[in-house]
Amino acid sequence: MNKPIPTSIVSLQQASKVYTAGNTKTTALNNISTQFQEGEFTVLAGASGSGKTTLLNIVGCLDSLDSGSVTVCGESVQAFSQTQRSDFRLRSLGFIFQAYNLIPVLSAQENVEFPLALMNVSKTEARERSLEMLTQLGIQDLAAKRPAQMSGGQQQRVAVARALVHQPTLVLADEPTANLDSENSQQLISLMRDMNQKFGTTFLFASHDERVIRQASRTITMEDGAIIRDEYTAQ
Amino acid sequence: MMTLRLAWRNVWRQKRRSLVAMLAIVIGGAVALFTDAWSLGMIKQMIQLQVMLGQGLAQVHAPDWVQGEFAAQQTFVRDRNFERDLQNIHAVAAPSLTVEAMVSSSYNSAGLLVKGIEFATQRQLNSALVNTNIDQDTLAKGTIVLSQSTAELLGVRIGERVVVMTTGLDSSLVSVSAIVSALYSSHSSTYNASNAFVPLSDLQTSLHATDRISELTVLPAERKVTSAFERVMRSYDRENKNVKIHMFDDLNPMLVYQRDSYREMMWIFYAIIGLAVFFGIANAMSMAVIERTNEIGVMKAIGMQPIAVFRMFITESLILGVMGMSGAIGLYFFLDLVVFPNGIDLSAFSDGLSAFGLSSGMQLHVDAESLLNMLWLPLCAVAGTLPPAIHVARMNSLEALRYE
Ligand SMILES: Nc1ncnc2c1ncn2[C@@H]1O[C@H](COP(=O)(O)OP(=O)(O)O)[C@@H](O)[C@H]1O
Ligand SMILES: [Mg+2]
Repeated sequence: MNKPIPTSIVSLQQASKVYTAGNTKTTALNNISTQFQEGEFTVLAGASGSGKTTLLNIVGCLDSLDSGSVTVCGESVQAFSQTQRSDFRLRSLGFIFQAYNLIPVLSAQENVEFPLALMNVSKTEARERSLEMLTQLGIQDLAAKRPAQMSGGQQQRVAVARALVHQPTLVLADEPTANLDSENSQQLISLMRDMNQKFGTTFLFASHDERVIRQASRTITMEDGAIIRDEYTAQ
Repeated sequence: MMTLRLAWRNVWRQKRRSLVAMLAIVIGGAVALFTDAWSLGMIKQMIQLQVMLGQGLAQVHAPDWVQGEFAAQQTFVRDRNFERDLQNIHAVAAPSLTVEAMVSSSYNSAGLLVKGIEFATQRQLNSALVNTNIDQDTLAKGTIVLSQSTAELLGVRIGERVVVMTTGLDSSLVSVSAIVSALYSSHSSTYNASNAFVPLSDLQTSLHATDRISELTVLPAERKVTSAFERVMRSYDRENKNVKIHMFDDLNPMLVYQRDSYREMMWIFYAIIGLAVFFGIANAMSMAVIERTNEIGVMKAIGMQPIAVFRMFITESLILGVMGMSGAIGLYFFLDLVVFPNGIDLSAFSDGLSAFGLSSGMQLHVDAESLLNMLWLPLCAVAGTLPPAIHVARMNSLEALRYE
């Protein structure tokens, strides 16, 4: 059997973003053109200030380009209204942030149910799917715990469950391991990798931790808003 | 559902702040309700006392009767059939003939309204006559009942004689003497200063006004104007051209005006409380918004729509407002039913208040409108949340995520 030709999940064409703060202009993205294929597990590497977060925000429809174009899941998201962007993020994307990830007043399971509730999935179905997701990640024991009762590593694993529960096409994670020790970092990335392989979900995440970067199937290295290296790792 | 759950839990996130905000609503609301109940209770009691001070709830007069004038011409012949009809529906129907008269002792004299009454019926609708030392059903022929204050003014005691001078129906001067048989004291000092009672038949004889009266005072059994009662009175009014019927509201425009208009003045009070609730909640919710900026950023990034974020904050303030309102109503009823179960003792002020027809032991009174007005509290709480809620709804999720 022939492998299906991978389709492009994200496509950036001559994407540029300049921040103006007072008199200083910072080129956060400098004429970037690249693509991410379905099922890729890509890490954005590069020093702090190299533009990783900006790129993720553009792909995540949280920010918009000054010039160039971006297509996510076949949609020209630049043209979306605010409401469309929210809806698109809800249905097609999953987010894992560096910190403040979980909603403090909700339990782990309720946090995982949150995107389903926003999608108007029925209460019972949301219960089932969230518990199933937690079980997939081996953290069903945490279901009833509030974020304050969990360690940083546990919280990030719940965040992964929340990012995946609604079966998004693309999961974006901005330095998800930044606040974790090396063992927890390894575990979290392994978990993401497992999910990537199990569900075929495309992952795009930023990190400057060498041990984390090594686990990616593709490493894009950025510097001053430009891609200076793009490598595929044989797994 | 998720909105309600988030809102409910967010309320309890900063317990102290939420409780302080709620307490402000509870106290503001209870004070408003109490003031309302106090005013309503006072007016209600003023009306009640007026009704029971010989006014009844309806009066039959001569057609050309003018309130406050007591001309002998304004009399009409008693209709005993109608009185019997009224008694059949258990209404009190008390006939009286009132004249302006000069009542004199050897020491002093006073201009009074001398009321010829049938004691048995008059006593049932005139609280002034309830606590006198008269135990028989009629006033003895040739006697007069004065108020304690009038007796003091005239320097007479029970058993002593006064002279009553007035003009008869034919404009002749009528002068008779009467023995003071009893003294009364009503709660209204103005009433005490101007009213005296004699037997109806005595007055009719002196005035050559056989079977004529100037008023038939009627008090329905329910002690309020029911539609059935009003129908009976109105139809009698229509069928008899020689009399005119006046209902309580026609006779007491000031009281009725007070009853109907005091609420219009309460709005100032409600406005002040509303402002306090508005700013209290606006402050509490603005602080909540600042504290939760990052998580709002996360929620929005995941895909929560601005309107849903807005709804979440509004729901939170609605919970605060509704709980505060319930607390206010609870606190009021605690005061009404537990602290003042026997009404509020105004005896310390009762001398001054008696002129207004108010005695001690005033009952608080709330009605449906007072309770409905309490919805103002959650409304102001929600209004106070609008500025911060609109602010978060508009907030850019990236900026919210970056906020330190
Ligand atoms: N909101 C902003 N306003 C001004 N400059 C910004 C803003 N966000 C990012 N930058 C600048 O853009 C550049 C890229 O930032 P970022 O994408 O956050 O890099 P990284 O995530 O790789 O650390 C940096 O120089 C940063 O200072
Ligand atoms: Mg960054």
